[in-house]
Amino acid sequence: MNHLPGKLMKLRKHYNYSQSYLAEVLDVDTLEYMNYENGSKMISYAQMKKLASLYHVNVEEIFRNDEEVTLYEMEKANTDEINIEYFIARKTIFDTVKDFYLDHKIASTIIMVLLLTIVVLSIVLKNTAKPYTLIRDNINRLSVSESTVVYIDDYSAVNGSGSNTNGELSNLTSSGAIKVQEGEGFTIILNEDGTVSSAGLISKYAKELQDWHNIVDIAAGRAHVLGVDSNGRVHCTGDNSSGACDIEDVKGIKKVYAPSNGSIAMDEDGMLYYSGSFIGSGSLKNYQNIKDVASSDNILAILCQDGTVDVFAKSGNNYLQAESWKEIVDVCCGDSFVAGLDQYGKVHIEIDNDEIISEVEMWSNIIAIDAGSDYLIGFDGVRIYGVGNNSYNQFSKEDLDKQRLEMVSEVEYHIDEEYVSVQFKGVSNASGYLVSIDVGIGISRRLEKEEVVKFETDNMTDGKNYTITIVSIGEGDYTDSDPFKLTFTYEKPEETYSFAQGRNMSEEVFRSYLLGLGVPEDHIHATMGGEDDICAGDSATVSWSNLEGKTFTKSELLNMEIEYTYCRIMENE
Amino acid sequence: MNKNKIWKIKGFEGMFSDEDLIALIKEGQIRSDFLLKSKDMKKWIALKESIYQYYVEDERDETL
Repeated sequence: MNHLPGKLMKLRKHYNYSQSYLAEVLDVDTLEYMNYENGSKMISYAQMKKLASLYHVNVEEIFRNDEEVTLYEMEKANTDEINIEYFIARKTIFDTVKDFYLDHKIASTIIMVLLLTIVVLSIVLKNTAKPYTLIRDNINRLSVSESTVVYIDDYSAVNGSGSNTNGELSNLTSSGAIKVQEGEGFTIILNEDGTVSSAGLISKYAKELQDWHNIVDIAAGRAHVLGVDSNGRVHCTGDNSSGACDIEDVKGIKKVYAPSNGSIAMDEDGMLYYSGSFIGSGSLKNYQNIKDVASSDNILAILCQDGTVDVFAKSGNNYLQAESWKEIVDVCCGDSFVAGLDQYGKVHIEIDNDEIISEVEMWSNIIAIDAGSDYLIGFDGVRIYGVGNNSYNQFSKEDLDKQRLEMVSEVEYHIDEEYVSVQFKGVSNASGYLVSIDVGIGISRRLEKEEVVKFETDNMTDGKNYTITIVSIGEGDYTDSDPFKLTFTYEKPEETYSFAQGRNMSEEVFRSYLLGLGVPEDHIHATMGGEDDICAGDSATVSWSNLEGKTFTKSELLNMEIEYTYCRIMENE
Repeated sequence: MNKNKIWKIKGFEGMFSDEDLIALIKEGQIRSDFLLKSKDMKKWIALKESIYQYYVEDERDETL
């Protein structure tokens, strides 16, 4: 049975649209649209997308042949006849702010004064804020060379694939990796403690790198490494035959980039300094305060602060235009393509190859991109996607053909004095689960099946936020799920006190213990036992209390009336 | 650049336009249990669970 007609009618009526309006939206005549609703004709994919956009649902909801469809409560028109202008004339943010101002003049004036104060304070603080601090940014979690792909996983660990000829993928140990960079035959890692680790060909400079401290940013060129410390000083080591390291004199630097055999440093005011050799270097004099830069032998791509990308290419690559790209957060380029990642996780690519364009358009939820000269990599925080030359097995080509596992559900956590316990409902076809919590460098457990996993609370700080991440692990036809993330505030549980039954403690010690906990003396009601309650020894022992066999928090204990009986010491004859 | 190639069919190499996909369904090259995914979709959907099953049924009706 075709459920589309019923679904189309349900959506249209919910939003109070007329058939003629829908026909106008889909650019068909009304009779044609009526045929869609009576099931005698099928809509095209392009029309499905228009409807999905109009009704604010995913295109899958329309494409899937079931009766379920999401109905959102939203602005509706009053009449059945709606013009396209209705949508265009919807309130802008500016109109909303204006209406609010007119309705609440005094409150709005106070808010504006406060905002102005914040702006002024921000400017003052900006000019005094030093030294620079290390920043975590997802785009720093991926780096690619001609033959290797290296990324930082959710547990701050560095992983790599591809060629390990020079040991660039060996012993990628890190005490909490923040940024990773690949050069030709080597890997460098910026750690959260401000140190820099290395592997591969750069090892002859490893000792020098060990002397770098309080580093807040790094960059790797083909054969040199840049670092900037928290005082804004640039460090450079490696091959300086092209003058790439002739940039160490600049001061007040907060970010560094290393295109091929060159270096770029940006100071706190966004001024750019550069040295060495790389394509398009002459263009940099026109720029200030850039967000990122990427280069290959033929292309230089500059990501501007407004999220647009400018491309400078050698002749022969003049078709590469990124003018339509907006809200870009990461950029990279190969010898004949340029790619940009937008803030919604979609990757845009300019290349003279339709297959690759279509392949890349399938990627979603990407958090970082990078490229070798002839291949592009996208990273979604868990998986590596790739297109292009895969000679070194830098990426798995099969992933897109696999079904992604569902995320776990019904995740619950419980905090006691010793552990945070996590419980969840698993998914079918998962070969296991990876559960982690971001304490320090990250602690993870691999579970074979859904079960309670416990993390010690020793390293947790009261009042601080922590995130539990759970990934369903796939195998065979299935890939790992998207990570399920649950953030909670750790509130250290109040210490509890248990009182065993049948206490064998002298009355004097028991009273001192209670007083030591802070129980007020007038809350302690002690009674000497009767004739039959006689102590065998020479000290009165607690024989009964209303605490026996129970557990109390300190505050409960301090607020309750405590009663106990102790035995009567037999008097000496 | 052709950006109409929006469909991926599990087991088939390359990408397909909407027209290509419908033609393949009508030609019987894609059966009801074949999995489809467009660039806007997160999961694979079997043809029989999609509204494009319409084209299969349509074909069946004509042959009866």
